[in-house]
Amino acid sequence: MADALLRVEGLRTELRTRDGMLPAVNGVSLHVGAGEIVGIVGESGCGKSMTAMSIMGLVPNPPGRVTAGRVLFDGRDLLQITPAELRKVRGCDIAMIFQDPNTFLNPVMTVEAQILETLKQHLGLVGAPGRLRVRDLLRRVRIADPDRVATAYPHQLSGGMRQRILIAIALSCEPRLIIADEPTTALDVTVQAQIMDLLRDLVQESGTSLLLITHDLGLVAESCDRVYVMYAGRVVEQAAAIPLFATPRHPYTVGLLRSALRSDERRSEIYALEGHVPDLTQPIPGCSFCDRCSERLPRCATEAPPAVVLDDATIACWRFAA
Amino acid sequence: MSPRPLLRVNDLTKTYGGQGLFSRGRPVQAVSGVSFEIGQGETLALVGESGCGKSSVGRMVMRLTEPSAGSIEFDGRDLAILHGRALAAERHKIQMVFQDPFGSLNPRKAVRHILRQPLRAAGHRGVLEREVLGLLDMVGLRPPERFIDRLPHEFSGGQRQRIAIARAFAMKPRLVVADEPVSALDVSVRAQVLRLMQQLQAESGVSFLFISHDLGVVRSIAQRVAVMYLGKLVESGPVEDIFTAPRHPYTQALLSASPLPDPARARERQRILLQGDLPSPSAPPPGCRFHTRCPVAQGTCRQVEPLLITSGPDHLVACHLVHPVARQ
Repeated sequence: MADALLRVEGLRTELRTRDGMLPAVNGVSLHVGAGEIVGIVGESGCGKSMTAMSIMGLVPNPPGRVTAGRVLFDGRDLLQITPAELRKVRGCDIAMIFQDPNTFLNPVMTVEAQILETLKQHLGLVGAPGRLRVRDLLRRVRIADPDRVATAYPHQLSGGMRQRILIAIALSCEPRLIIADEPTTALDVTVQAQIMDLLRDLVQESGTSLLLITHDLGLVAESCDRVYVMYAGRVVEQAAAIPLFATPRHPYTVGLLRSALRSDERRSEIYALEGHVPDLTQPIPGCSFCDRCSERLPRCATEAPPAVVLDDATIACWRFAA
Repeated sequence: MSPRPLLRVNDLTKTYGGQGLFSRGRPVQAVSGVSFEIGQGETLALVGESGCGKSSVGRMVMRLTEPSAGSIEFDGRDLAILHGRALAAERHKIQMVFQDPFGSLNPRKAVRHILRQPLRAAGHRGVLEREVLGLLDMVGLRPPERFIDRLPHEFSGGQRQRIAIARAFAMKPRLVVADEPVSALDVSVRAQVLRLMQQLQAESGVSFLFISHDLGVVRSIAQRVAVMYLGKLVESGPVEDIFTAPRHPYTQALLSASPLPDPARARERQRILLQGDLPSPSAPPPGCRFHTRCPVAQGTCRQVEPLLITSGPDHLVACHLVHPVARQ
């Protein structure tokens, strides 16, 4: 725990909306160890992407603003350093992979030119050594014909190929942490399997840490060592992947896992977690899951549950606070 | 003797482009000789990856897209040759639910108006307030009075999909074509909408053509499954046969690529990783269309196109390894 590469403490990010202030990230604490694959899983609006953006200092302002907390990367608080220092960390020590490669690839630049741009920016690599390095990176993301792909434009490549290019760019400075936000959501399942396999291999090869942000419980189960479950801006449960899926404890995690349909068993009756996420612009004095929870206690409506450490897990639920 | 199926699709083919001022190059055969049946009250899932033609099949069943060849027999009548009034009358009985309820609901019309439209088309007259309230109640938007005057953007994704379902069921359809109806929804909302669909099916005996890429959803919602790859059916059969004993290498790969929310089981299972991407549908590989990515392809597969052949009760497979050419 002490030697965590990334440690986030009490992070709070607010968005100014028409309906008032919305705490998209509400007191999130998490850590990622060296070489660890950590997942943040949750449904849309739970704050998982906003957490990643806050870590990277990419929250659009306005409407967003990080209002509290610390983001310690290797002991340095990324929220306190200058923009120039942050730019150096970002893309170099911490790289990010997004859902839609099209948004992040320039359609009128060849693959080579785009990777070279990063190499020049962060490593000062240009010319022949740079081009050699590009081929090297393309081979690392298992592209069989790097020469052809290097001279191609993004539209000439498939979605899976484009995502590989993005991963190659992310790897270009040997980052110590990769944050992947829904990296395979836009891909077909067979291509998704290839990309996730590649990410896992790369992490193993290089000792990089990976923070995987996804809504897909299956992806988390297959790839992550440890998992944070988020709901309505808060972490409700944290545990190692195997115990989390085998014996979930927070009622939200329990409900979420029960309602997930899986290809290895037929449910004669589909279980649905009823209700919906509360309106976060309204203050919620108690647990934000309280009105959907079948196990709520009287105090759940009035007091926010503290995060309780139980074995190696953390659960924010009054049922476990006793 | 089995009763007559509600829908019988025969040799359905759709070719796009290839001629005309703006089309370049070769025509794309999006759907190529697809046949299947759906029984009364049955759910058939059409699965496959993007570009496999599953949505085109759905659109042709709805006659939103004209088939290039083949027949669509609904309740004993060939839809492909019906036109005008006769087609309109039959089409009431087939309704569609799309993936993106935002795109399929008019953003400027209140729910009251959106749901009145199909009722009027079905011949109802008047204000229809009671009927619209009934529909909202049926899809679990309660109390309906609270929702009737809202605009689509005031609803969440799951609620919008409920409205789309209400609109489809307003016509008392016998078949609903649902094209990725829950793909845009979160896990917990997805389960709510699927439960609603199951419940409506139990009450009305409607049949579903359920188009999806999500095998987890398919296993629990479908009775039968048809798997498509690059415009062709590669395997079809009862859901449990397909999931427990898939015979086509593509079905096997698709299943093994489907993420399991179970770390212990996910880590111990044998994965079949397919190489490469889907070939372009405008230039499908010769022979078996899957041979470029198939882990067990042989010489024959590169030359001879396999036929869809029975390999068990109601189980069809198009693969040379399951049915060697010599015996075909």
